[in-house]
Amino acid sequence: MKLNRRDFIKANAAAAAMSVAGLPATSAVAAGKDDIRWDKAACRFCGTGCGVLVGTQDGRVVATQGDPDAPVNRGLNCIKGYFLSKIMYGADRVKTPMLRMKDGKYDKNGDFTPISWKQAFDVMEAQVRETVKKKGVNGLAMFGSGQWTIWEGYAAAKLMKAGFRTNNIDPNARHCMASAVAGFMRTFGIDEPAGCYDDIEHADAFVLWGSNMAEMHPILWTRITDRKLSSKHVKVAVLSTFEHRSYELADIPMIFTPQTDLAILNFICNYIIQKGKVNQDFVSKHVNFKKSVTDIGYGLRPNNPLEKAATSNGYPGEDGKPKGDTGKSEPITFDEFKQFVSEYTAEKVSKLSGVPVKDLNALAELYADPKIKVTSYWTMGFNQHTRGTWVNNMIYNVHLLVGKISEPGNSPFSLTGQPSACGTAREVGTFSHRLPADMVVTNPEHRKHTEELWGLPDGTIPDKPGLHAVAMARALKDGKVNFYWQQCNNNLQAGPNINEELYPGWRNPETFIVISDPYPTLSASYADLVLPTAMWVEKEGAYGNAERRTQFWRQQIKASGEARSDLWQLMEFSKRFKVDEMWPAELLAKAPKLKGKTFYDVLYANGVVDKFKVSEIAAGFDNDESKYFGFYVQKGLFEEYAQFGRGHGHDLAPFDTYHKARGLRWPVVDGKETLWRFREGFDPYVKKGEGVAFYGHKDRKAVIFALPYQNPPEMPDKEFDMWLCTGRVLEHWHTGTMTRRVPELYKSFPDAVVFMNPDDAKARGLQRGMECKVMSRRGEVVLRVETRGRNKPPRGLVFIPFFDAGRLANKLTLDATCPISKETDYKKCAVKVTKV
Amino acid sequence: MNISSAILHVVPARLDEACTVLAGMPGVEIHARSPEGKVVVTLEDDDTEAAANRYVALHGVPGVAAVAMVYQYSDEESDTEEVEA
Repeated sequence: MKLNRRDFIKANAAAAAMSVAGLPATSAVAAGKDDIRWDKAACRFCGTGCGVLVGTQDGRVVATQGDPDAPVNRGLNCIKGYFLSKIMYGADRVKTPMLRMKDGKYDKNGDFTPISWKQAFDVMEAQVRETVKKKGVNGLAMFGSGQWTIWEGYAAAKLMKAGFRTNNIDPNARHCMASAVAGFMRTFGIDEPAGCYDDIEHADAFVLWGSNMAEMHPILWTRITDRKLSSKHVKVAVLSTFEHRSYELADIPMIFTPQTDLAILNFICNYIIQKGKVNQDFVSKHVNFKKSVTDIGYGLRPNNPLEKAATSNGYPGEDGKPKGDTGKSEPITFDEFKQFVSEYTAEKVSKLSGVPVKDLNALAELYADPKIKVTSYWTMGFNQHTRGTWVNNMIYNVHLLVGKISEPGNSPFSLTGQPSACGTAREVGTFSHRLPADMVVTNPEHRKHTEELWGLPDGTIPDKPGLHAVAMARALKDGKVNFYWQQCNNNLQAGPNINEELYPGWRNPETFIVISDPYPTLSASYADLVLPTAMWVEKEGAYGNAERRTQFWRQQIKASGEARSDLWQLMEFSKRFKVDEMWPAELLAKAPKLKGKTFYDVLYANGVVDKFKVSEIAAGFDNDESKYFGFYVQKGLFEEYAQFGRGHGHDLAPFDTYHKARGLRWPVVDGKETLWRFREGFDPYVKKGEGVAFYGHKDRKAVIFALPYQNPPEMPDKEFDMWLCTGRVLEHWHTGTMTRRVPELYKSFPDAVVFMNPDDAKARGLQRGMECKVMSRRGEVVLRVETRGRNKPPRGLVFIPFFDAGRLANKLTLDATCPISKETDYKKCAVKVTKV
Repeated sequence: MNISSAILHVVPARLDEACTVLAGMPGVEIHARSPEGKVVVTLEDDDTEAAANRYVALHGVPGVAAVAMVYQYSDEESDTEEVEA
């Protein structure tokens, strides 16, 4: 019987693949007869947002399949998505809350002991109250995630900003997307890409700026490969600081010296201008030119000599006043811009970047030639950059100069690394300076509008930005933040400079660290309290991907053990605090009807969020939070949140629509999604006759910024003589919390290695497979040398993936950030490599 | 038991070469190929050590530009075994 069953499943597997490939299939896809219930979900991993079908049998996920009806991936999966059915079944799931205890009490140096949820919340409540008493509400901080579902991020932002009244909430998306956000806001005045994945099938050329899509966005890469192999004229240019798998498809392969992307982008603008290829009509109608301040520092601690010297880093100067403003800019003319980029000649930039002149010219010509439709892709290479905001602005400079934007195939496209970096971290506004729908806490009108929609008195939301990711870690070390709650991420492994700036804060005797996670991650093992958390299809969820597509799924199975969703944790904990005891009397006096109420009553059971009945949940599916709280929690939170965007360029469809659709790209107006923003005929916010309108700015124009090349804060020298670049590999996602628990993925890439040039290895007496020590000024890691792997660095650069908790790449990295976006540069610091 | 299917995109000039290598890989079965370079394969995992590496090995086959997985099935018994392994 077993053999027959095997053949049956194999036939179905083959049929599914043939149908997806568009090849004639002989039998139907497995469904129905198998007693497997199939239902749609968004993949749990990256920002591509593939649709998958989840197969559930006897309360357990047994199979997944690329969703043939999903427009993103059309039935395909990458290797991580392929093993999704296993991510929830790691043997070491955290099953109950665990508290460090000694003699029956909480003790920071005690051993992890299982406790009940009530005990866990009792201890947390006491810690919050003590912190507020000692340090005020800004002694509290929450670190969330671009992997939170939309409603989890929304509930968390409300709890911190409107409940506790601190803006100390930031997502790990700060480490991955903040520069993209700042770039969008500066250039367009509105966040997220103009184009979408449909650009792939329209483009004549693709340019990868640092991005290794073959490994990190494999499904989009498959679509690009399909486009290139089926249309002979299509060209692919790949730029990176080391050779990787995406180079296999490259017509113009380029390796550049780290940081010189800034110079290459200015060269392209110079080339376009010198060759007379500026789209004058487009530029005169739709573009302003500006020049930015440049001496903006590197986001290091204020006592760092580089920050002391910087004149516009915004840090307090001798007189206590901020030294300038990192984002300041002033208008210039086109001629001034032309003059500014004129020094970036092919010869000069070739010398600086190491890219041959002929390749620079070939690359520039792809953008300059009006007949070639170009799509540019980038991810962490641009975003994790001490000039990350600038480099995002500068790729838009190129596309705007030639008017290659907001139309099929012409698309500067910022890829994302997390499944809901867009949908949750950005759109909901879980950053320490943001509110929903691109609003900010520093704008009085934005605060007022938010308070009105939330039914809260004027002055509830604090007017100063809270602590961003790196500042939060520093504040824990410095004892300024004493209560820290982290959900849905593993910052102790993913954050920069672990030895000097992360670990000391976590083990600071003054701090209390709470980690909500399904697994005992590195973060959890150094925490004081670990809360077991429901993951992915153990709860009803929604994510928003890189192309503005909002996607929903239903709860498919029960969570493991005592695990509860982040949403349940936030809402249930909010019942512990009353506004009377947590808010100043003068604030409460403005809203007497809130007197005596808990945060839960004020934020969630507020007449809006609790409007929808549990009976509206689809028959046959669980929804544990809604059943617990007595209303359709996800629907209420979503509908309250959606009010922010509707009519403001961020329109979301009604809740129920998303449970039926395979995702929709906002703005969704009159039931219709928007594929290309800012373009008449595609975007309902562009008026008739306008053609193009960058309506994020009041004058409906985008901005081209004059920005220079500048050195990074740390470069190789005599002692630390190599560049270190960190990143991912195909098999693992981020810190490996999920992928390292899938046996097949674990076995295929069990330990991090250091990829290096064979000549660099030889010069240090090293051979492939030998152990070596990689040291920076901040720490050291011992790992094996790989000289023949998929990544082939040039001499002078090494690459280490950060998934491995046993070989922590982030002990080496520097906590320098883009001073505008506050995003860390994980791609450049100086190291040395020696024999062990 | 672990059965899956995948679509490979192969540079057309190297299609024969790639298919020869694929056909020689244990547990890999070719079900279809198109002149544009699409190849449909199934993969069978029989709980051997080599099986885990096979998925990744697909990416390294000469001429293969992209690999996309489509369908994956694993039943409960082998799940338990693999988790413990």
